[in-house]
Amino acid sequence: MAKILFINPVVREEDDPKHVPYGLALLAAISNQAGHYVQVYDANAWRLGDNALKTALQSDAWDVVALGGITTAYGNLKRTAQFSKLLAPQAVLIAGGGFITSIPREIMGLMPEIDVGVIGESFVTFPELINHIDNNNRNWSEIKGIIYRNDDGRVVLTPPRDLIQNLDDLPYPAWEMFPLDIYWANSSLLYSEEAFTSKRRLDINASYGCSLICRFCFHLGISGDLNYTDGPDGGNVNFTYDRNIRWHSARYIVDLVKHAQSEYGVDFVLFLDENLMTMNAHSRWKWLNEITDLWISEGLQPTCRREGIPHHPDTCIEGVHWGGTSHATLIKPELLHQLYLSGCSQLLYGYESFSNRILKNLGKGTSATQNEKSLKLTLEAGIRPIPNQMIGFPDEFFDSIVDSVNAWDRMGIQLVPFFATPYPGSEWYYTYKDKILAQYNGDLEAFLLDLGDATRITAVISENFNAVELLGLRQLMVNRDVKRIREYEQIWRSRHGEPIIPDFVHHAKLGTGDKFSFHTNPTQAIELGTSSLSDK
Amino acid sequence: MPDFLKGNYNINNNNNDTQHAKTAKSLTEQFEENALAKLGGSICFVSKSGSLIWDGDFTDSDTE
Repeated sequence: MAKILFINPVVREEDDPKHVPYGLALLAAISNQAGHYVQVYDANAWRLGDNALKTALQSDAWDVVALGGITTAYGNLKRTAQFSKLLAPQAVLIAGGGFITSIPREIMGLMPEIDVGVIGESFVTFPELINHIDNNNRNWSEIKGIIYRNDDGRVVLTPPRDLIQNLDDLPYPAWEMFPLDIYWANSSLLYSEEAFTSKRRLDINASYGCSLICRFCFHLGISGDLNYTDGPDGGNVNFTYDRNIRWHSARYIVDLVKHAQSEYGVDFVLFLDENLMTMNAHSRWKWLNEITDLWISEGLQPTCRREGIPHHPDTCIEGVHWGGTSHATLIKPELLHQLYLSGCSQLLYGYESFSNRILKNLGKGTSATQNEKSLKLTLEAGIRPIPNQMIGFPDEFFDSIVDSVNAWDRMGIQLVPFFATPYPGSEWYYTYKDKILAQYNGDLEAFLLDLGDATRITAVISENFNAVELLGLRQLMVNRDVKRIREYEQIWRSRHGEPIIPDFVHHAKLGTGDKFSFHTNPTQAIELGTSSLSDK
Repeated sequence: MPDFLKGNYNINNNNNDTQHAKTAKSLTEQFEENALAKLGGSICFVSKSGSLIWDGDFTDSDTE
């Protein structure tokens, strides 16, 4: 059997490690189940630096070094790959996850140490690769869903791998292979009182994908969005509005939570799903009711919810609280009440903006009124809404900024918005690729290294504002300083005239294979001129 | 007299439970204070500390 070293790269170095990597934990479990020899070096949890990484790489004669992550981990992934090739040259270096799925050919070019990349979902592809390696078979062309270098050094993309349809076939994540004491120490999250007081939290993916087509979102190639183009050596990947979304059964989810509780003493579960509510809608509004019914009947309901008392860690000693993701148009009071009873403490809403003009262009299917109403209903249900916002949309202008500030003020929202960031794989990335690269002198790697979690400004895709303006406007938004925002609008207009307002509204239907497109429609600017000058 | 009051006279008040006054914060207050100190990105919240005045007027059709 093969000896596999999984490495979880350092991500968000400025923050504490808070999340056991779910995909890596599943792959470790799958490999363990298949009888391979598995070790995990969780560099993100340990934060021990290069010497520990070198020690891990030299600790055994690895057949495989496997690493992966999202694009924001690119810098650490590259460093890890370089050390791997140097110190464990006998091992096949396999990379997977969002960072390589989004731009596989570019990553293979930037990271020549990678032998094989897994594109999209890896649950079947990875064990197949390991079996090949175990059998000393290096004929990668037989394996679907990968990118590799052939004997001539050319990079080849093999045909796409189908997504698995029964997620319940997956084993439970091998959480025991990760340094959980480090994660327990960082279990507390500033999302709700219950998450804040959590002593032992684990994260779970109850579903994969999302039916929405938000322009900023990349679905990791596991949402039915991944498409292949024709061309030499297998062409390339692109991403479409096609969807194949999947979810675990209520029984699997509740049994997994019970396992987390009985094995690890977990008191909080954070669902990492792209959007729980879109899954619920696709299940004809059954899925979340099934989960919460089972959650309660299987004894996972927290004490405070069972007894109808406020949560306090000293008195809430049984059960498991949880938090998840939501959508403004897909909730109802009855559903929220049921979620609350089961232990739901927070729902993250990607409201993004309270400007109807911005929302219409965003592909999210919401309006400012629906955002506000969902916030109110969620609060009334006893659940904390997490009202995410952004600044710097392609069509951002003073009217949209003031609309959002006024809404935050009205609802008592406290936040510092994200910057609209064009992550590779998103529609924004493809639409604005030239503009993005121009900001980095054409250097894609410089852009990848600059990318963070969108709380810092990186590549600007706003048609009307530069980075300095967005930084200043964000601060004025946080300060609720509409007066200065209006003053700057006068200055801006005296210099630039009318704004450019790109129009992303499309006529594509989901499932038609339509690719991303947009056109600029500066004529809309004329209508904006007056509305933006009148305080709402 | 609480030790956090400073002035030009002494208050005739026996309540000197300053420790309690300093620490008696509700869980919600503690949460919001901590969240406010680390505000940014997905650390954001709706204040429940009395500042929310809801004047929304919706119909059921808004979420249909």
